Amino acid sequence: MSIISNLQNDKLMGLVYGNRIILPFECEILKIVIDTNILTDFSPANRDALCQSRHGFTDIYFLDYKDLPEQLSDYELIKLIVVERGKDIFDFNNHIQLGVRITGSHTIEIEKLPEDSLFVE
Amino acid sequence: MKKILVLFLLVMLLAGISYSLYAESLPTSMESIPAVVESETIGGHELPSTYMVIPFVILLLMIATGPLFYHHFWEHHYPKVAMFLGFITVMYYLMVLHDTHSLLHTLAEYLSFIALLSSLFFAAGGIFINVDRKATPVLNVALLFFGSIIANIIGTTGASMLLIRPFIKINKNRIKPYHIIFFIFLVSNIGGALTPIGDPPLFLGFLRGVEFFWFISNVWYIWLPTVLVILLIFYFRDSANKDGQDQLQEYSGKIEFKGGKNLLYLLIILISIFIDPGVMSWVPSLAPLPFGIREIIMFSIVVISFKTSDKEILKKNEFDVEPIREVAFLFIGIFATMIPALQLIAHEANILGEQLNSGIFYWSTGLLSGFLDNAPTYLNFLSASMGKFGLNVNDKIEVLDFMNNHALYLQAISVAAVFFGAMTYIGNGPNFMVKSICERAGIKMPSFFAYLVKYSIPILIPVFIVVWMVFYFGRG
Repeated sequence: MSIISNLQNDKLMGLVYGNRIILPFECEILKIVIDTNILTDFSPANRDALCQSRHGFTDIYFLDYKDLPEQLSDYELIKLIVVERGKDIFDFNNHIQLGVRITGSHTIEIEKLPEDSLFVE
Repeated sequence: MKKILVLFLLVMLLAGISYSLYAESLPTSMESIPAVVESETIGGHELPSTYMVIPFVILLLMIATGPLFYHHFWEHHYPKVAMFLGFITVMYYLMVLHDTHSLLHTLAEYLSFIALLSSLFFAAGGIFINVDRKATPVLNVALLFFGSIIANIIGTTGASMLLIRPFIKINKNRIKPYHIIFFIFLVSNIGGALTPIGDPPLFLGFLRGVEFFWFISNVWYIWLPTVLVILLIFYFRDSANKDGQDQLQEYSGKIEFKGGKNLLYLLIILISIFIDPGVMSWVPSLAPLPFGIREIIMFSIVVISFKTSDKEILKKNEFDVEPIREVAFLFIGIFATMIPALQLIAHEANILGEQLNSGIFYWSTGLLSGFLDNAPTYLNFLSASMGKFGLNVNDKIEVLDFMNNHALYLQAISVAAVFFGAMTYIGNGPNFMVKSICERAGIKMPSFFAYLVKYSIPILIPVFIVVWMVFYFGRG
C-alpha cells in the first residue's frame, strides 16, 4: 500500500471541497506551501491549516481560505512535504515532495515534484 | 475588489482630464503668482497639510507589521487597506486642495511604473533557465555579478525575474535567506545604476535630458567597488554555509534555456521604453490621458505574453499573477499616499537648497528612496539640487548644463536613489516580487524589520558610508 513512494510519472487524483483537500493516502505532513504561506505548525491551536489522517485518506483544511478552486490559479501548486504512514519520519529519504494542482471544481492532481522544482525543504 | 480598483483609477483619471481641460482656460504664466504665495505652494497649488503624511506612515507601518502581527487580516485585506488610505489622500487633494494636477501626475507615474513591472514580469515568466551545476560560493558570486551587469540591459526587474528561479534552484540544498537578500541588494537594485534602463529614477533623469551614457561614465567607478565589496561580503558569508555538502548528486554542467519567444517580448519592452515624446519627437502624446504609447505597448505585451507563453514553461516556473497583483495594490496605495510627503520634501529642499551640499543630497535622496518610491524621490531632489544653481529641471538645456557643470550633485542623487532602493522590501518594485517568489518556493523570508536590522543596516549602511566619505564628504 505504498502509494506515494511508487508514484513516478503518474498522477494521483484527489478531491477538493471549498477549503478542504482530500489526499487518497495516509501520511504525516511536515510542510505546506500555499501562496506565500509556509506552514509548518499543525498543532491544534494553529489557525492556518488542520490536517487529519484517516483510514485510507488524509484531509487538509486550509482555514485561511474559503474556496481553493476560486482562489488559486491554474498554474499554482500547493506544495507538500509528506511521509507516508508507517515509514520512518526521521529518514530524509522518506520525505516526499508533492505538488497538488486544482484541476476542476472538485478534483485535484497530485504528483511527485521533479528534482529541479522550485521547492526548498 | 477589481471594481474598487477600476473606480479608484477612474476617479483619478476623470479628475485629471477635467483639470487639464479647465487649466487650458487659465493664464499659463506663473509670473502672476505672488512670490510670497509661491513659497507656500507647489506648482501653483497650496501645500498639503503635514497631517496628510499620516496615511502614508500608517501604510508603511502596516506593510511592516501586518505580515508579522496580524497576517490573517493583512493577507485578506491589504488591497482594501492600501486603496482606502490612498483614497483618503485622493479625496483630500480633490476636495480640500482642488489639486487634480498632482493626482493625474501621480497616476501617470503609477501606470508607467506598473506597465514596466508587469510587462517584464509576464515576459520573463515564460522564460526557463536551468543551470545544472553544483552550487559554490564562486558560482553564486559569478551569478550575482552577471545579474548586476544585465540589470543595466534588461532592467533590475527583468534581471530579477529571469535569474531568481535558477539562483534558487542551484542553491536548493543550501539556500538561506541571506542568498535572496544579497540577490535583492545586487540584482534588484545596486546593479542597475549604470544605465537609464537599469532603474526607473535614472530613466526619469534621461527623460529630463541627462545623456544616456552619462551614468555609465560617471557612476561606474562607484558602482564597481560597491558591487565588489558586497560580493566579497557575500562570498565570506556563503563560504561559511556548509549545508548540502554531503549530497551525492551528479551534475551535467549544462545550462538549459527555453522560451526564446519571450526574449523577443523583452526586447520589445526595452525598445518601447524609448517610445516617449520626450525622447523621440515623432511619438504622439496622448495627453491629457495619464498614459502614452509606451504604456499601451507594455500592457499589450502583458496580454500577449500571458496568452502565448509556453504553458509547460509557465508550469515549470509555477507562474502566478499574485506577486504582481500584490505589488500593484500596495504600490497604488504607496503612490497615492506619498504625494503629500514628496511635495513637502520638495518644498523644504527648495527652501534649504542653498545650504545643501552633495553629501546631504546623497543621504536625503538615499534614505527617502529606501522608504518611498525612488523614482519620484529622485526627481524631487534633482529639482531641488538644480534649484540651488538657479536651474530648472523642466528645461532640457538647463539639465544638460547641470549635468556638465555640477556632475557631483547629479551623481550623488543618482547613486543614492538606486543604491538605497535595496534598504527595504518597498524601496524598489522587484524587491517585493523576489520576496514573494521565494516564499512560494518555501523559503522563509525575513520580516520587514528583520530585513532592515539583520541585513540592510549592518551590511549596506557601512558600505554607503564609505561611498559617502570617499566621494562626497567635504565636497560640493
